[in-house]
Amino acid sequence: MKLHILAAGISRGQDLSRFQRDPDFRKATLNMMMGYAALEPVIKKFPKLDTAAFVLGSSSGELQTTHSFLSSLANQGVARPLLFQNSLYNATLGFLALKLGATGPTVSVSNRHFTGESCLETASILIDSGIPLCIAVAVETRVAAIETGLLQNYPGEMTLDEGAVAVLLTDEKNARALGAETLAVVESIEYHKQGGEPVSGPYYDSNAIERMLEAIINSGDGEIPKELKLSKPDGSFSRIRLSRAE
Amino acid sequence: MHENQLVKQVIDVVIDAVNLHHVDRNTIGAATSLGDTGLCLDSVDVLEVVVAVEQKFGVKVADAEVGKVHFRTIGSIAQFIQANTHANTTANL
Amino acid sequence: MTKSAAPIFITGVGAVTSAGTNLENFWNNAVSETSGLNELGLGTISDSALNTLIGRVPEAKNLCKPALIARVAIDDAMKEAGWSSLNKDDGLIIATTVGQIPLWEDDMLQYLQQKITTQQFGKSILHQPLGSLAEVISTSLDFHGKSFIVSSACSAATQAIGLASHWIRQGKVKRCLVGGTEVLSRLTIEGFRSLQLLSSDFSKPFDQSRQGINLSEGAAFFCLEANPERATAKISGSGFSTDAYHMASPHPEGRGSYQAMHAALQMAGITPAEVTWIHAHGTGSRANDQSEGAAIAQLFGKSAGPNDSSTPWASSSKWIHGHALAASGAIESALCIQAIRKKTILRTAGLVTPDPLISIRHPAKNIQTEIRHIVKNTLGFGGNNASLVFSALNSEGAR
Repeated sequence: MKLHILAAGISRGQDLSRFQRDPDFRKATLNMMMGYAALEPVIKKFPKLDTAAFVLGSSSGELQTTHSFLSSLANQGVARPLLFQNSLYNATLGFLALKLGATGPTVSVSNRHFTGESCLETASILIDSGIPLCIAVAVETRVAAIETGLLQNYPGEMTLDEGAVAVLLTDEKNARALGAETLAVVESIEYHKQGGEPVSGPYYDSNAIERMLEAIINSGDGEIPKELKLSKPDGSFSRIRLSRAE
Repeated sequence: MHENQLVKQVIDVVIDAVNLHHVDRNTIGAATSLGDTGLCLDSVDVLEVVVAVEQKFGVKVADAEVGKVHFRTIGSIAQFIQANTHANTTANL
Repeated sequence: MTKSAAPIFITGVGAVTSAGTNLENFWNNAVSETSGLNELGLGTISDSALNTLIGRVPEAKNLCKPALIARVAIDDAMKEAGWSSLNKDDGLIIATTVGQIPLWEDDMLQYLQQKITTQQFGKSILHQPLGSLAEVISTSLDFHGKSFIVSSACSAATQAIGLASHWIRQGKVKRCLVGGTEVLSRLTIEGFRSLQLLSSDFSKPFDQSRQGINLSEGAAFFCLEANPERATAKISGSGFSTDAYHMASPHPEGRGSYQAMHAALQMAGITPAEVTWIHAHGTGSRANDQSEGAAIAQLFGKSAGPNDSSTPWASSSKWIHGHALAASGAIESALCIQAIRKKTILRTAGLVTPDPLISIRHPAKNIQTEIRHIVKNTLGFGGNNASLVFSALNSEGAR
């Protein structure tokens, strides 16, 4: 695999009110705003990303917008076109791709607890097929109206979280050619159906990339953890192997 | 309903339907186009406005052709509503 | 993706559609122009058809509709390929837009009207994440390898097939089971209706009087591998691109679709002149057909009519089976593979008066001919384009 991380950004949903005043974001959903907020540090470092590939991962996608569309349908008998357009899983990527003027391959993926991992896996496929750069964004937002019902399915110590994360990825050859600093290298990802630790605290399905970035950031200039075990609520886990670039 | 009052209500509906709250309301009038020379709404925005107008004013836009003809400016929408609702009916806002 | 690449072989194909619940029936109905669309302009798979499917794959009986039809298509594909099971080093990619929506949509509508409890709804909404479909199908196949969902709307399955072929080439999986599955839902029917994209008449792709699309449901799956032993066709190339134009409308000049087709041909190492047939996305929407037609004309040359052999044949089959959204690329790729096997190009069923503004070479009737290369297109919401090149086993690129 060997994905070189050139830039990264994380959004926890703070300071999104600036988008609400921005005409370019008048039709943006929360997923779209958070995804863009996560992308901002990446764009600042690499302003020209229009030909990069772009993978977006989300486990529940535009669930809030779907809920709003069906609510209008159920209660007023009205199907709202803007809500429908924004309810598709691909809508988040479509919006962000438009913002970047992206003309390269853009792929939406989803894989429940392994959504973040699948996002990286798909980026790896695209880069190894010959696309020099790939943006990977994972985003998940909470839906207040269904949260109580949803939480009953999870262990008591777990709470539902939300977040968006963006990384710019490439391979070793292109990292050298760009002369770009590599934050860390994703060496490999493994998937295991059993053997995970119980999950407690804030969790969202596509949080693997954020957890990976946290580990990298927390290591500062020191040793990056060689292996991250990311446990999921159903007892499965992934193992992500990391290294510093040589 | 007095046309000026209706125009004001149409403006409110359009602003809410497609989230034009960043636009200075004083710059929108009967002559304001929905398209490139005015509010710059795209085709899906216009469909959203159609749905909102139908719901708020109890009118029916029969098909896409009717929509194209009557949903060009704020004023043309107000005229469409006026022509398709009873003179004494108040908008159901 | 412009590197020339080794072909990947298709050793098994399975399809369950509104126009035939196995590949042979689907193909025969396509050839005889027996549409699977109903009087509402929707392509459905009936409950009685589902019972028959369960009879074919009894272990699928407790699966919900999208998983069931996928599982039956998978069973057919794997039987043809001689795959008794999937191994841990295989891969699985599934394209879908709405996943297991039958398990939660009605409950959400009821919940929104306070007709069921939070607790009840909380159980069903667990099936909303698209990944739950991959889990269910993996469990049904006793598969423990890598899998994921592609959810790029109408281009999802073509992307999935392209990604699957790369995955194998890159040695990350040994073989790959890939395809798409989609069922109708209130969300998609009411949603597309609200966008004024639906036609209650049968769609007429590329026709000057075309009025919109017909939604449908269905599934198709492929066994892909590097081993050509049992292959009946191959994937020579794939190309993906994005329009960067509008969320729901394609670029009017088909800029992105052109790029996707061009990239696919480059990867296959073939020129436009070597393409026998373009199986278009051809939804019957005014915008899509115009855009795609412009892209085809730009890349392959403007056709002067059916007798202009300097351009490839181009047609759409959506009058037969409707538009199954994320699964459409898979369902129509299944027709492409059958076309290669049966040496038959399908005309655009439903086309009466070709739009003079769209300069593609329409077959007046089905054509019996050797097929070297087929380009399969999809154009999706979000401006997402994907093209595949399917080739006969004995066809190589000129370069």
